[in-house]
Amino acid sequence: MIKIISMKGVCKNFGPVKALDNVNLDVSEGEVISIIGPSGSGKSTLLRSINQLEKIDSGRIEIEGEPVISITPGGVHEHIPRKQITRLNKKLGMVFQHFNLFPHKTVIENITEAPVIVNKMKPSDAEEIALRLLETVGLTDKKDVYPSRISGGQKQRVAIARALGMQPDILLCDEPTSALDPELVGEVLATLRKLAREKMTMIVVTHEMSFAREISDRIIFMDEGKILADGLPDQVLGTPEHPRIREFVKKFI
Amino acid sequence: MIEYIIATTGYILKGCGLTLSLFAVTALGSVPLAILFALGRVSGPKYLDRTLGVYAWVFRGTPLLLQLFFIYYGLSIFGISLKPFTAASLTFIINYAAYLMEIFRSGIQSIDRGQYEAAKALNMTYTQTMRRIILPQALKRTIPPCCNESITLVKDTALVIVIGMGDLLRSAKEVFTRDFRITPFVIAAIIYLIMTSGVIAVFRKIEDRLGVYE
Repeated sequence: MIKIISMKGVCKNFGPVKALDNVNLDVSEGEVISIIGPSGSGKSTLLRSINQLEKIDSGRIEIEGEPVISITPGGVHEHIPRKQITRLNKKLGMVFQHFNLFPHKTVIENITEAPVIVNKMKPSDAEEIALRLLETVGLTDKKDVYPSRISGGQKQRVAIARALGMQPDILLCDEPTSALDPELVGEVLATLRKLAREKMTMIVVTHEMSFAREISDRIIFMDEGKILADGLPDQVLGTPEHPRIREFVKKFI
Repeated sequence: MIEYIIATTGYILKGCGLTLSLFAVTALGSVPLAILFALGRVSGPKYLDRTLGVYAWVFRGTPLLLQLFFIYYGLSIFGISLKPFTAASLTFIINYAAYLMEIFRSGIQSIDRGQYEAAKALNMTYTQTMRRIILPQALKRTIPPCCNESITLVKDTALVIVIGMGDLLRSAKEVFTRDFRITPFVIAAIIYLIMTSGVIAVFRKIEDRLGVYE
């Protein structure tokens, strides 16, 4: 069975800091994976290296069986055609901690922008898809307002809709609720939960332990750039073997 | 008296045409050039950034008047003789592009990194990202300093007198010399004020239109 994402021996340093230290990870279609761990453990770097917002130093990343980047430990790059990288990257959608909505575009324009500009979709078709997505995230009534006029939770739901507008196979979520006021976290989690139920493949970097436990098929625990645990939520969080994980989990109970 | 004012105003206004056309040519020429240069500084190779840095240093660091002398009189030594209006337009465009380049550059650099990342995550190309996402926001932020530059430009056009061109200030000076009365200067001042007020009004309109999202 083809892995939808496969990372092999991925390393990334920020100066002397090992952000990713020989990371190996396989993701199957429809899987929901949460990445947890202390801050600075490399969770976000892992996620961002998949769609190349962070350029890895060495290792290999494949999407649906084809490489997007492959660098030997010696630093030799395998040549991968631009077109292939773009084609594979289009299978990835991303949701950011700080939403990163386009402030000069209305809610619906935020969603239709990339489909029309990048995928050359007919504006009317893109709008139809956008309206359906806005219905999914429950923001149809906000379609014509600018992002500055909506709450953080609503912004993040728009950002989710925007990512889905490109019809990705995989959704990468980088701490989607960390920048939100506590009372706004619920609505974003509810949206992600809905997507998980619809069998969207998702990788979520999060600090929401109970949420991670509830929606994830697998939980990955990272520390100092390494994956310390990778397994079922109850295994990783319920009876943690590693002392670092025990220590971390204790803080959240 | 009224008749004198009307006649003088009419005469001075004839010089106004030059002021306005030089303003228009400079604005139309320098803005696109400055945007291109700013993009070159922000995302071009290092040597380009450095070259443009030197360009800004020279043209912002020497008097516009001197630059005008160089291009109009100086170039004629090398056998390149430009018509006064061509020389003036060229000088003003190069000079103003240097200022505007730095203004646009700071505008572009003030845009949050997250905007680039969002665009990249949506697979936009560099050109799409700049054209659709970064520049609209960056240019909006640079409207107040651009308004300042435009006001300065209206007044700087008066420098063309030194290469023998007749703008509105020169007309006013001629009337003054002839009549030895202060009225032409007052009229010139009022015309300048009307022009700069127009500039301010236009920029306010642009700011309102581009700022609907805030």
